[in-house]
Amino acid sequence: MTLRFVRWFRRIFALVFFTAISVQFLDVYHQLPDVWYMYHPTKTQLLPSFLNLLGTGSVLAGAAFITVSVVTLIFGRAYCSFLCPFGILMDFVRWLATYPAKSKILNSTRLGVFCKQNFAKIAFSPAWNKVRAFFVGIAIVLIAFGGAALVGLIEPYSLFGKIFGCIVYPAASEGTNAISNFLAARGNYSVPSVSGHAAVALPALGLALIILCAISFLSAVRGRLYCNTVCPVGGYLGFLARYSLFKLELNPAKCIACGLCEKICKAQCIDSRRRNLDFSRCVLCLDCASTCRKSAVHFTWRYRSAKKTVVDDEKETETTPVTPASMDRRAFVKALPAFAALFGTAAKVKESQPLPKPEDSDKPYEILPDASPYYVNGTRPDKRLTPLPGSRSLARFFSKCTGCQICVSTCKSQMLKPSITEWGLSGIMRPFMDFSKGFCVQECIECTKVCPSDALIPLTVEEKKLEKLGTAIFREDLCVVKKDETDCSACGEHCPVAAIEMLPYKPEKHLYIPYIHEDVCIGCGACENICPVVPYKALVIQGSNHIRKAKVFDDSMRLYVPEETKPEEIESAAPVDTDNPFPF
Amino acid sequence: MNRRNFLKTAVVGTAAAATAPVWENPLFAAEETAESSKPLDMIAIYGGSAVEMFKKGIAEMGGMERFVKKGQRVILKPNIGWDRGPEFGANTDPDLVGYVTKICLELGAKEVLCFDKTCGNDWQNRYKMSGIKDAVEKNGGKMVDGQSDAMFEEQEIPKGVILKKADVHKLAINPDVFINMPVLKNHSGTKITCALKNYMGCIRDRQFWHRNNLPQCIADFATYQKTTLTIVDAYRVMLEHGPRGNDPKFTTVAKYQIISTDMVAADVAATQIFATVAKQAKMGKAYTVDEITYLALAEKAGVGTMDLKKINMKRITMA
Repeated sequence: MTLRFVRWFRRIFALVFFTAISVQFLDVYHQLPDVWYMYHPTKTQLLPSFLNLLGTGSVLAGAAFITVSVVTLIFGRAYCSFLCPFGILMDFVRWLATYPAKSKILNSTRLGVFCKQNFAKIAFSPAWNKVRAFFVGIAIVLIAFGGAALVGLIEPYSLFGKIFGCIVYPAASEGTNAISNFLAARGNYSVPSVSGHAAVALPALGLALIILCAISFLSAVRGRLYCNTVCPVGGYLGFLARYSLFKLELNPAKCIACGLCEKICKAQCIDSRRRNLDFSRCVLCLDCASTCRKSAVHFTWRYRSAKKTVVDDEKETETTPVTPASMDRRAFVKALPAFAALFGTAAKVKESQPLPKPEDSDKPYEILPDASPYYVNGTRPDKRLTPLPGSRSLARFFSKCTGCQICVSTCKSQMLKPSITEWGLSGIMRPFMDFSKGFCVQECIECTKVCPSDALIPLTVEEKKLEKLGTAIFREDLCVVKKDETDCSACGEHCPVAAIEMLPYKPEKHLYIPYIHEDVCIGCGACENICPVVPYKALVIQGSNHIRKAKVFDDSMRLYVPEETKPEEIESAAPVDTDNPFPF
Repeated sequence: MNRRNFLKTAVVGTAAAATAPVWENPLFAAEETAESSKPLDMIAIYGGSAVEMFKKGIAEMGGMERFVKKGQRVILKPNIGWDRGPEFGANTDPDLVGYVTKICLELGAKEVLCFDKTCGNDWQNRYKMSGIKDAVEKNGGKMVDGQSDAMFEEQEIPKGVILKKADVHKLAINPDVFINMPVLKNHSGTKITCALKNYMGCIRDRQFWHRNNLPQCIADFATYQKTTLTIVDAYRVMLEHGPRGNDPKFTTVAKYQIISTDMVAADVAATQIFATVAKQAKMGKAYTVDEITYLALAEKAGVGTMDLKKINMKRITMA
């Protein structure tokens, strides 16, 4: 009797979960209903949840991390097959790669034979525990020293996000647009095109494609090799799984060492000859249990199996070199205080202070000397980018964001883009605000709602409205009002907070020139985005290190008050209640 | 009488009308022309909701059937630039747009399509926030994307002085019926935005206009765009912090509307209404027609007339 249903249960569960999380990346119309932030599907992911726990110290924020750790201590790495979208993606690729070998129609074709020879068969492979420990260590060090963006290059959820955010989402958007334009050309406007430009820069697309190709190749040839080598989450959960209460085992009483389970085990952790299953590497896909004709693969209570080893110690000692080395364990325990110290420093950086009030920001807005928006000898040095809404400060943002791209896919005006060199190479694929693509919509809080790692703290609309990300700097000699003496005021018109006041410039020509109230400016980039001057904009947003609260514009700040109309004229102006309210 | 004098008269208004000679009073002049049997060019209405005023006004103009024939495709171009609710007066009144959609369809229009190139990437968000999407779709019309580059086609503008070519929205190219539905409000750049300025939502590259003499470009494009009817929504008038609006307190319920076949005349009348409302509300600035520089440029290009005396117009005050 085979336990086929367990495999189907896993498949259906994984498919549902994968769909739920993918849909968040594929919401091209940005119409998905709000989810309470803890229940956003991305919040189930282990490493972001860990970062969240580390930063906020809130058990609620780290619920996913804690739950998954506890579940792993009971049943093993169920996370890897049920909740990890990257793992599920790998399983799907592997299923596709082995399908021709299994299909009745295809198995005799060249493709079927090729797949059979190269992909279908897989065998036990010894554990690479040093590699696993190395990557877990790297991840810990990077997190402690603010290199979260680099952890995002080895961490599964962020890798999945990079594939979906940089390849699948732009493709879905452009696909929708293609359909929409095709229909619109024929007078049918039933499919609206999407807002904004979804495309990402070519290097970002290239990097995501490399990740996709690499992981497709790996999973086709070696199954879950990534999960048991590079993946720091796999490494951590694998460590916990060694001590789990229940373990999958090959029951020596039933097992006939036929090798069926070994051939299907994508974690390559079953050594059927020795009737041994390395539970630290097992991703709990349950394929072995479904395949075994003798029902020999079963969960065992940890202590019962220990008892058995005493009885059958000769056999067990033979297998110990294959099971995870106890040396690792000892080293890990020794390293624990060091890790604790590391996380202590990390947590200090990530303290989420409340926003400084406007009164605190009385000192003039500081501009880094290396981040001038002005020309120096004819070229403009790099301008400083703005922190994202809800990130509190650049330092905090850097220490948390793993570059999973969920905010990039969610951005209503599609102005969040993955950076290549914008944040420096250590911040590769971390989102930045690209004001050439759009501007941050004042009342939009979507990115802060979806961020799983707490790099962006959820904001209310009221908070977001006064979230001061930077300040617009105005360069008068570039402005068309001065240069060409024509009306423009595109910036004043787009400013959502009335921070740009149009002052009379040449009254005889009815010209007005912008003036920026720096305390009021929220740094949303609307002015920079719309400024018509090419190639260098007359208005540039200079990002600030710390996000502050902007002041609300009130009339007392106004520098220019239009000439008062004379009182007698007001009285004689056509009053509304007479027979003729028209001035003409 | 030059324009300045005319305006002074206008500003002093009806209270002073008795003291002015009859032939200099534009009110009397206008009333006379209104009596002729020619169809009206313009109607100014005061005192009702946007929809009520339109119902009354369009009946006087000869009904919507004068402009919309059976089987035609009607394009509505309201102002949907901003992510603001109707109370700001930043966008055209949604009820009015909804009602125009409804009667056009009742008159047998093939379809009613509505678009605007919004001032920001998030156009779907803005269609929704303005309330116009709901109003149009509820009444059987359709909202069309005004943002993607694919929706625009390059067109020659033969009479253009600066703007000789522009990427124009497909719906604005050779339309059967094109109804301009601006909202009257303050504008930080052009002082006032209304009918002519509303057409900046028909083209792709607005920044070209801003770089290259905005008033002239506005006038240039007006020579190109076929316009059947202009409905100026001045039910709510944003007097300060236009065109986006900072707070609804800068917006007054003024209860005016202008329906006109002459865009320039509509803008002149709207400018004067703006000045009147600004003075009454003691907010904003009472701009003169001279300050709205694109009006004279548009008149010169032959888009319409700035002289309201030449217009066959009627004024209606609703109880």
